[in-house]
Amino acid sequence: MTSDCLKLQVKVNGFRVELGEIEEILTKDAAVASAAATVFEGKLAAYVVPAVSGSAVSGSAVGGSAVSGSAVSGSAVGGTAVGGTAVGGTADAADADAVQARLRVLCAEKLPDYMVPHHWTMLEQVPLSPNGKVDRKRLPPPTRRSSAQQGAESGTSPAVEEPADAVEAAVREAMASILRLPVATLCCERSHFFRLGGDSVSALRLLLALRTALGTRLTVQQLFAQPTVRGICSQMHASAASAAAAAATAATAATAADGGGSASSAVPSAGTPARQLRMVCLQPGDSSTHLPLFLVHPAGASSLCYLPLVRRLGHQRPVYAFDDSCLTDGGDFQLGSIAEVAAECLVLMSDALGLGGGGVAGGAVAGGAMAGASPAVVLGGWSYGGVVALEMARQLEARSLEMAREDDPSPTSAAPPALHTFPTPLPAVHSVLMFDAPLGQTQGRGFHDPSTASDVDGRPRLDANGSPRSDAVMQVLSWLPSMLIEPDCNLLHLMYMVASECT
Amino acid sequence: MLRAQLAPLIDDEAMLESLSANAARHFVACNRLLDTHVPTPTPLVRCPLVDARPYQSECVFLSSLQHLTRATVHKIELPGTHWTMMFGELTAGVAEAITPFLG
Repeated sequence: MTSDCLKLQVKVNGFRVELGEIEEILTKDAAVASAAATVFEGKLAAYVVPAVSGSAVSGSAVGGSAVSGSAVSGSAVGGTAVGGTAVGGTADAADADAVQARLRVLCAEKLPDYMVPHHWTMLEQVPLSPNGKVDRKRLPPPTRRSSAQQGAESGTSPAVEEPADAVEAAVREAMASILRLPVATLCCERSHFFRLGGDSVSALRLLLALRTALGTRLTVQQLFAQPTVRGICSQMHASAASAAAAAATAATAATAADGGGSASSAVPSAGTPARQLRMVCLQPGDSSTHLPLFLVHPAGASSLCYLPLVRRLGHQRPVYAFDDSCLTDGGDFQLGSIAEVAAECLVLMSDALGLGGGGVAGGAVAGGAMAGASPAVVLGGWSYGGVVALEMARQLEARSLEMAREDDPSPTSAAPPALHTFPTPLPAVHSVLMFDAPLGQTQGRGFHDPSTASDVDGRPRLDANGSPRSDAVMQVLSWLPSMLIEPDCNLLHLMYMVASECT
Repeated sequence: MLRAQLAPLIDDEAMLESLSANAARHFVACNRLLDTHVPTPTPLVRCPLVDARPYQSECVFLSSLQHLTRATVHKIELPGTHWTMMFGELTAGVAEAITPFLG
């Protein structure tokens, strides 16, 4: 690394990036002979010369020759020999994959998300200027991988599984169209949407395309859970079955009500599929050693906004989040109070804990730290989510108190009806994490400490017409592009990894 | 502004409209719940509360949450604002600060 690298600043997605810092991280790895970083079409690109034995560096300027992507095959790449020097066979390809994977992790560990390169290209030699500095202008563009390479990486070779029915064919066609790949190269069983170049934006496009073509309304979470043609179809079938079951349940309940039977509580039971909220497994972790963390989404944002934080907590921490289908699916917001939201979160949590007979993607949290008479959980949330998390803790503890004095006939209204059927043992709340939770908005309604009334923000979130204050809306809405853009700075990679671990 | 930011990423007009509209509606709905939040003041929770707030927050909420719990309230100050504290490199500080309370 040269001093000019350290001084070379670029701006990517609004973040100021020192390219030299990236190069410094890369070149410290023993498997790297040299490295360069630059920006290509608005995204960071890393170029790595592996220090692998047998891959002699050509004396000629390699400039425009690149071994693109992670697959460094022994044959010419894309029909072009790499600097006239073959880079090993399949073993070398595997090595290169391993090196690249490790470098990605290394960057992710050492650098903020927005500094982790999006493109990775293996070179035989970094082009240098006459004075020995990296000649960034001669760095080749990160070449799009050939179908063969993509296939090798994502599993489309050697045999491509054809669609089993018209639905799979439609899904495959949509995926190929979004990824701009020949339909015939996609294997229904193994072609992985994200490994083939899909990102958060193209994921949204795919969901929209499926909605248009098939009338199905899959969620982003479902796509992350099973990002293959067959997996998507499986999710579609599951959603359809779930909807049918819900319809049957509703019909049965209506029949019972018409016939004078006892109507059930309006609060959804643990088995009711049509809830406004849903559980997302952000990271399965190791529940035998770590307490699970349950996070509630903020107002106007998906719980996927917690992924950058989750990544910082280490892979061992099980993390679940409550997401609102209204945000992604556009349905009506039906929950009428913070207490109702908290109660629904608790029912979902019981499923995740394996107490309610349900489950979430990634499996139920059980055993180890969760085993025993009183499992423990950590609750948390950002802004609105923090208020809901606190209410969840209050309801859980209220129910615990009720159960402790169940011989006492005096009723208490502290715990909502949903918790009366909450499976036991009730989880103990280890702590509640509140990230700038807006409790001050409850001024005058009995919740706040009167002594702190003067601290309450006097600016209402809603204007005189009942509409959200414009500056607040725009700030919250700015989260959305952050969620969409940040994947390009490696959040996508993280989301993909999380999804992979969940399946 | 949102549309301008998203436009290079999403070329589908309907999706642009849908995303921004859903977020706006959801934001309004959640805030209505907050503004009508009248929780039962008792019993106090028995678990510790971690009150993590950004240095530069424009939001001024309750100065203390101690009246909400019988246990300890741990106050933590973090870089960023209400809107940025959970993004990008700021999350490193958040993770470090909350780790002692994760059990």
